[in-house]
Amino acid sequence: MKDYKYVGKNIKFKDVEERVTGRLKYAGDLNHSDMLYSRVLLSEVARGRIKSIDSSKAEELPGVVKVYTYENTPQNTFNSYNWYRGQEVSKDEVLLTPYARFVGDRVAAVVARDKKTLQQALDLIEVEYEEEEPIIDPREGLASDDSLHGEENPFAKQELSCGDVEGNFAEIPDELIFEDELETPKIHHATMENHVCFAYPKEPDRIAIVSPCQLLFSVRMMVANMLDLRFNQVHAIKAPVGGSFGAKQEIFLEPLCAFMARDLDRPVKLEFKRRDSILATRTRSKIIGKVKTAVDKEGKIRARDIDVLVDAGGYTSNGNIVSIAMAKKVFRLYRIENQRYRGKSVHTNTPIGGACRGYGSPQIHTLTEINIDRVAKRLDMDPVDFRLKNLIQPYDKDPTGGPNLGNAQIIAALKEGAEKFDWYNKRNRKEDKGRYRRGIGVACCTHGNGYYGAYHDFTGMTLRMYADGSLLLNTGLHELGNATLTAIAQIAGEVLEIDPGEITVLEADTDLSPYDIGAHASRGTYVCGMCAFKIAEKLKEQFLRESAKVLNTTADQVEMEQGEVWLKDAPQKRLSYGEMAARVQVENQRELFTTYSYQAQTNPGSYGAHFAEVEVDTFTGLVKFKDYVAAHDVGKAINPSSVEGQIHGGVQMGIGMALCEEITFNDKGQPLNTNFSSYHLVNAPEMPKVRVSLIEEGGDEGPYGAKSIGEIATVPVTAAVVNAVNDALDIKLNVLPMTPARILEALNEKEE
Amino acid sequence: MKGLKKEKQKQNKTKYFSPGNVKEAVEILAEIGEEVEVLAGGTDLLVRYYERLYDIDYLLDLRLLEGLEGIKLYDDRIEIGARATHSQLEKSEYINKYFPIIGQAAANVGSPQIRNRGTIGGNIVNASPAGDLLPGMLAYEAKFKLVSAKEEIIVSAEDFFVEPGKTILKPNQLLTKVILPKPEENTYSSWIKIGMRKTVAITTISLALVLKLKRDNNTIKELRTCLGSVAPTPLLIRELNREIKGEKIDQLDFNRLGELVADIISPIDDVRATKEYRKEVARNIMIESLEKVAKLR
Amino acid sequence: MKIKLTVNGEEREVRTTSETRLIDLLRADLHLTGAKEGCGEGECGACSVIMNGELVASCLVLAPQADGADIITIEGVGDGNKLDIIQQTFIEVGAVQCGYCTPGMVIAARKLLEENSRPTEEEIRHGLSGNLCRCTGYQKIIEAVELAADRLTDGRGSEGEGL
Ligand SMILES: Cc1cc2nc3c(=O)[nH]c(=O)nc-3n(C[C@H](O)[C@H](O)[C@H](O)COP(=O)(O)OP(=O)(O)OC[C@H]3O[C@@H](n4cnc5c(N)ncnc54)[C@H](O)[C@@H]3O)c2cc1C
Ligand code: FES
Ligand code: FES
Repeated sequence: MKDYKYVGKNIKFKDVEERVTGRLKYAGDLNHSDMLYSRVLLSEVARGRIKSIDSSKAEELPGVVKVYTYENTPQNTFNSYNWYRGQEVSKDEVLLTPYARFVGDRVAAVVARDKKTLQQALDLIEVEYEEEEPIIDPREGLASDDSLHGEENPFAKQELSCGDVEGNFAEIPDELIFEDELETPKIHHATMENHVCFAYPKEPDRIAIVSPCQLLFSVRMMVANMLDLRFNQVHAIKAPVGGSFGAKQEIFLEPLCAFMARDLDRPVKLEFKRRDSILATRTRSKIIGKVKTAVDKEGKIRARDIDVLVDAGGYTSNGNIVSIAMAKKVFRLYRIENQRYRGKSVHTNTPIGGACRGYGSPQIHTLTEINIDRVAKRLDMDPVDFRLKNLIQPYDKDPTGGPNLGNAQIIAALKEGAEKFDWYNKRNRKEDKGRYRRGIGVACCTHGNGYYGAYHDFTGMTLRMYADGSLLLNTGLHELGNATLTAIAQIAGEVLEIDPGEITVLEADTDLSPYDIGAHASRGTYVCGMCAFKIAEKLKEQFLRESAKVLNTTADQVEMEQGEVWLKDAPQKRLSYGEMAARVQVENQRELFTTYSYQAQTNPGSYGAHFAEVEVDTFTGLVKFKDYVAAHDVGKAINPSSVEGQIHGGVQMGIGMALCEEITFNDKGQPLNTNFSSYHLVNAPEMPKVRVSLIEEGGDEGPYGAKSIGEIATVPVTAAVVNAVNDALDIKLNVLPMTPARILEALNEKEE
Repeated sequence: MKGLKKEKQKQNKTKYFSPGNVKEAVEILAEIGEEVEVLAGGTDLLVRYYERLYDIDYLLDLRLLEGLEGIKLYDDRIEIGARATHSQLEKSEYINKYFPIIGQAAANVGSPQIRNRGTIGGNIVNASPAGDLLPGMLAYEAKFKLVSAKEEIIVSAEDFFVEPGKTILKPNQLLTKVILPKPEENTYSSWIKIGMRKTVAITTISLALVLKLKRDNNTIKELRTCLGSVAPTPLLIRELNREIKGEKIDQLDFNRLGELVADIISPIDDVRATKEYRKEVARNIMIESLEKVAKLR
Repeated sequence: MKIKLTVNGEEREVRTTSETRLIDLLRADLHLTGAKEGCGEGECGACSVIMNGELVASCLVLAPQADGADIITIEGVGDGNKLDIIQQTFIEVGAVQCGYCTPGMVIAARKLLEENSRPTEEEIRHGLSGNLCRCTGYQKIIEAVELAADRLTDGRGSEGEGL
């Protein structure tokens, strides 16, 4: 593959010095003179109408400015997942509710002059609920027919299929049909930065809102909608994001904060504490899935049938759409001619499900990849070989009519990963009999590159070269810590033959930047990176043309490289970009400046294969990692170090889902773990060293062939780990996470 | 946290004391009594009052109190000041020599940040069933010195714990010292902690075991077994000792003792684990502990 | 009440209360916002600072407990525009993503290397066990600490500020 100057290099993360010195100001670090502070009171009951709410004592507390409840806030409904105007969504949430639908529902908000008063004020608000029987288990939700919103439960059903599923199942003998079930947990995104936003009134009759978010333009829309303002009355400003992973793509705090700031005509900062973030933001949706796979004797998958129940929690959000996203994934990994996905989404009195790194993809892959493994084993086939037999090939069609899979290098990833992991030798190891048992597991996966095929997907940018040769790329993008802006600068720098450090990339500011649909759907590099590529090409063309004018020649006589421009036949006489740009301004009387709007044309699959080796302590049920390999088809790594970083972080999250992360509830819907002492993240001593292989075959439309990595990095992890534990103990675990207690229980059941 | 809510609005700010000696401190306790919160490292107290510091009326900070620091060696005992931190215990030569499992337990409390602040006194008075120093205290027959304005008394660790968060310590008393009698010759010990993570984990179940052998280094003189997180207080299993006293360690049926421990305890379900899990693991770690001490011989 | 403390080498006198935590004092009163509150309960380490030579969680220290103390925060690491070696290696290996855990990580790493100039990977993992990160899987953070240890022990520290 071609060697580039900047693409494929570990260029230093833009603004990393600010981060490493603690100078970067996150929204929570901002201070305004005259600023007020706010926190939200969360419901203490899982379900119940508010009989009375008495905030008088809180209001009397010195320092308290005002208490808000449903009685003095707008009661128009919204859906926090609403990201564009014209989107059809079911709106069932209000800013502050008169009817609590889970422990954590927003009931009141306090505004005070200092932070320390807030909790005391919250404690002084007296709420009486008319408690009702909650629905906690989504299966109950199905059975009860009782919706929390006066409609049917399940509130949505989804179906997607290809071929003839029933006919094929009828033909295959029972012993070649394998069925599995799986329950995945409700998971907290656990961004280290809790949710926070900051609003201040602006003259004339405008409101500014500062938010560490993923969809700034949607923040603007939602604030405008909820406050009955025009879009141009709202100025949304993106703050640095201290972790997002989907948690900061839904909009529910900003409108409330903006409302209070306007109502009080003062700056208001609304902050969440960890417990608030666990309960009252969004969670990875819990699913309960069933999968049935029919194979022939040669080990070819003939048909597959999948049923998924999605627990959306107390409000709809995207409880329907996430199921559709799951449906789409299952047709894009194996060649299965006859396949059906059926989903149902139910409301329960638990925290709201929402977007979370992978958007349903980790859940559905965990279900199907555990099943694939078990099918292979029951056929007495090696799990890698079985997969190799059935995986899709580059440029396969999506059998449901979705976008072409593109240069899908899953087979290469699986083979290379297996080699690196030493899969076949590890599989031939003697089975352990003692206290500690080793096992290995593999899982494959696919994920998308943007919204093409599902929604509109476009972005705009403007690029200018100043008279000193430095560049400014104005975008509507969101840096989330995954080095998006750096990658964008590398791409533009490569095209323009200039050090990416010379390019300032601005992120979203709704007053100043072009529109972007937001940092979701794994579109940052593939779609927005392509826009950067195109606009850089356009500016390059312009630069050559304008330089030619200055030099009294034609564009084809001008060369540019490494920040310098010259006439083809006078290479010894070089001008710097800056010298030329200045002359262009003076002599041609124009600025080097261009705008571009890019629409995604394709949406190939990204692919990955992960391998885990674990050692399970049968005395305690604790799992230790011996090895971990992640192989990814990324098309082209624009910045290999940050691609690796995404993978490492993805593995951390996936291991959490496999082994320890779960928000649990008692039968009254009271959450049992609302802090990091009882909700455990994988910390440094638990993490394996992840060995990464990157497959860089390009072949798709993205910039320099690049494809997405951030979300897919976490998709196959859980399944690989579960498969490894199942392998170590020869058990079948159906409920995640596999806590030590669940592991020992499964082991005991096997022995009985 | 509902219990911490104030029905009425609190008018006064927290009153803060940081006396320099025990006498002053206990006088404050005598005067104000129950409403005082004693503050050592704060790693339990500040978590309990997270966001609700306004709810504390009086704080008695031990930070300047003389006589509560340090680890001192005497002929027959070691005395640990209540303000000794986990980090100090972990690094103490005396502790590691005479009471290795206290050092091991301290070394695995929380994280470096917690060990640098959290104290032995706080761990003991906080009386969490999962407090990691507590099983060792019972297994090594520790004694605690409690001081009030009226008197100084010495109580045994075995009698100290009442229920989660509750001990016999009275509001007017301060825990000043932990006294550990130096073990006799041929004493061996083991500490096992099981949590949901290797580090920074509340104990799901733990076991401190101290085995005293007779001069022949084989015949069992006494076996002290204390489990954490299986009962409201650290649970010393006396039955075991009766069962095996006089037997020889190299002929002991470890499995039988493991089963016995599992039978005796009656743990509960919580967010970390089920009671079945705790029983099974209790058996397994009992066996492991016996194997460990037998090997140390 | 008034307390005196030394923060990053500078003596400060602050009017505060016993309901104020060290993290609040640093962030609100001294405008040193490098230390973050990720949990407020000692679990995440984002608020880590060095107090009297020891690594502590500033969310679990009351302001009066810091009276007379010597505090080093992330703002006191490195010297003005010069990054210290750990900060440099964090940048070099790409150990920073969202950056929210980074100040705490750098502080914890610094303490770790002060106490153990040649830590094993296992020792680094344990030394950072009180610092959670959701972005990096810790791997590059550990590499950065290893690299910093190498530089500090083989004397190549002269390029930047030492510890
Ligand atoms: C993240 C984290 C992890 C933790 N991990 C563990 C762990 O693994 N194992 C474990 O056992 N604990 C753990 N703890 C709990 C805690 O750190 C320990 O119990 C610690 O020893 C408490 O000591 P302290 O000095 O901080 O107590 P403080 O919080 O100061 O006090 C605790 C209680 O004891 C009282 N008290 C303290 N000293 C005295 C005295 N001398 N006389 C009378 N009363 C007194 C206080 O009034 C208070 O009620 C953890 C805590 C956190 C935040
Ligand atoms: S905020 Fe102090 S440890 Fe998390
Ligand atoms: S870099 Fe984001 S939490 Fe560590």
